Amino acid sequence: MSQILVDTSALLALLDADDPRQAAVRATFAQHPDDDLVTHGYVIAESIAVARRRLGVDGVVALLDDVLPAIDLLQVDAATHATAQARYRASLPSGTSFVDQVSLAVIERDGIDTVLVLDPDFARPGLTVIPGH
Amino acid sequence: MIRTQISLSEEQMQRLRAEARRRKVAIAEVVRDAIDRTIPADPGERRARRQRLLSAAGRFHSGSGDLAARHDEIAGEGDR
Repeated sequence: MSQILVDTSALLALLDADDPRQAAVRATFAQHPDDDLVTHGYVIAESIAVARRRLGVDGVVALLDDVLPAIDLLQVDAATHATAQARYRASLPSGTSFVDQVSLAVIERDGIDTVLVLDPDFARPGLTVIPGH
Repeated sequence: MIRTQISLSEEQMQRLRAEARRRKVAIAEVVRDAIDRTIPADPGERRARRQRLLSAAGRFHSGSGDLAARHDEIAGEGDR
């Protein structure tokens, strides 16, 4: 049993029947019943913002009531936030988004080796990306 | 929150204080986090939560199918 960090892109693709990778994301969730799903507050805030704009209140309610209870919340402490912020600042004007920098800092802090994501920014040595590209 | 009292060795307390300082959080937060990581949720409850997650799959139609791909931009973090 290991921890799988769930990113914003996976949460949104799961809910959206029009997403071309919706079935693959659902299957990936179903294929890991014994692994711990984890995420953090920045991913949740971003997911709520996008769901509210494009899926409406019902989409946000499904995210809050049906999806997130299955995913454990990891704390982003001040040191992890500071690491992500410094890396984000150094990557400007282009580069990995701030929320992704926080995810990468959490992954590094907690030794997480698998991430459920559709974002190519997570492709790096030592990190398994599912469902894969 | 439920208040409780536990006994720790001097060495455990030192480690706990050091971790709380490193994370810049309260000692209680480190203890709560350690419990969540160490003691898994009830298996039946865990399965029920996972089934509920799967039941939400494909319940909505964005019309564009690009939420996952363009979430940075949609959330207001696009390049400027």
